[in-house]
Amino acid sequence: MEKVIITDLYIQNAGAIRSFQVKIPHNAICITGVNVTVTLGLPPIPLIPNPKMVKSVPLPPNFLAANVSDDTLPAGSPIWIGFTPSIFLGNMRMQSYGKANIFIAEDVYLQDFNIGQGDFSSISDVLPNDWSNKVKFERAETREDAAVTVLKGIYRDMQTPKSTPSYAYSVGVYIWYEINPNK
Amino acid sequence: MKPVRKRFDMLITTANSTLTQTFEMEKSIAAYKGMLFTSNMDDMLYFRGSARVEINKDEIFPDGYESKLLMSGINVPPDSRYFDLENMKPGNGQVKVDFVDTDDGRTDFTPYRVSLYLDCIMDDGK
Repeated sequence: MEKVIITDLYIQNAGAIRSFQVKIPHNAICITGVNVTVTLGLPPIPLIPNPKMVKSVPLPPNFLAANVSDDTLPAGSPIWIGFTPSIFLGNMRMQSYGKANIFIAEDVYLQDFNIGQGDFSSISDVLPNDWSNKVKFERAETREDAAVTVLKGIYRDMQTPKSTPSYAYSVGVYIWYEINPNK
Repeated sequence: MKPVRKRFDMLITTANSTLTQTFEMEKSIAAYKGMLFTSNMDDMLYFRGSARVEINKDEIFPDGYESKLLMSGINVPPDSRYFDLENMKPGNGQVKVDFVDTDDGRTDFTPYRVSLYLDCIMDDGK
């Protein structure tokens, strides 16, 4: 049987570093997985997607003639595939005092702005979003021995004072562990 | 034994509130295979919801467990959408949910429905 421990880390300043420890109960046998989530802080901070659009390399001139049947496009026009960078907030690492040392490292993003890339199920009224098109949350699987009883973690915020907009948020760290029901 | 899927609804009418409900299962339910949260307004549930869930007085998800971790997108095959409960025994048949709505600034509150789905195995001989 599995249980989960939730640790919330509150990030108020750009560049903040949070060191934390997670105490694992004595009846735990092993650490089976880790999830990391983000919740924005209050008071609400307006969420503005980064307006900078990164454009991909233009397609070769003969690509259009071979692949696009739309006559409205003049031959040789470059097709730009719009890509909005998702907002990168920071990274989290967890360390065990056992042999594995750092056993997980996760990047933390605020929201996926490119969830609709390659998804042709959307219509003009219903655009792809995190809450509709995101796949099921899966935890990062681990098999770390829980005999150490304490895990150490460090979260490093990667926003800079010049990041616009910058966000106050909390990071939820979910540690899944398997228990011995007889203990 | 046959598979059945149960649905229980909770109506969230007030922003930043907690709603506690206990659902009773029939005696014929032999095991829980999986659990899923959905809503009529998925963005509300995704950004605002968290829930503590107890089955047979055993805490399965603790306080603050974000509901988005129990949701699945439309690109997930229906049979794979449930969180695996590994054939948990129903015990006293009670499923208790403490649902907490918390504003995180990304949504404007309007009342919404939260639906809890349980993928169960029914003992049809009972």
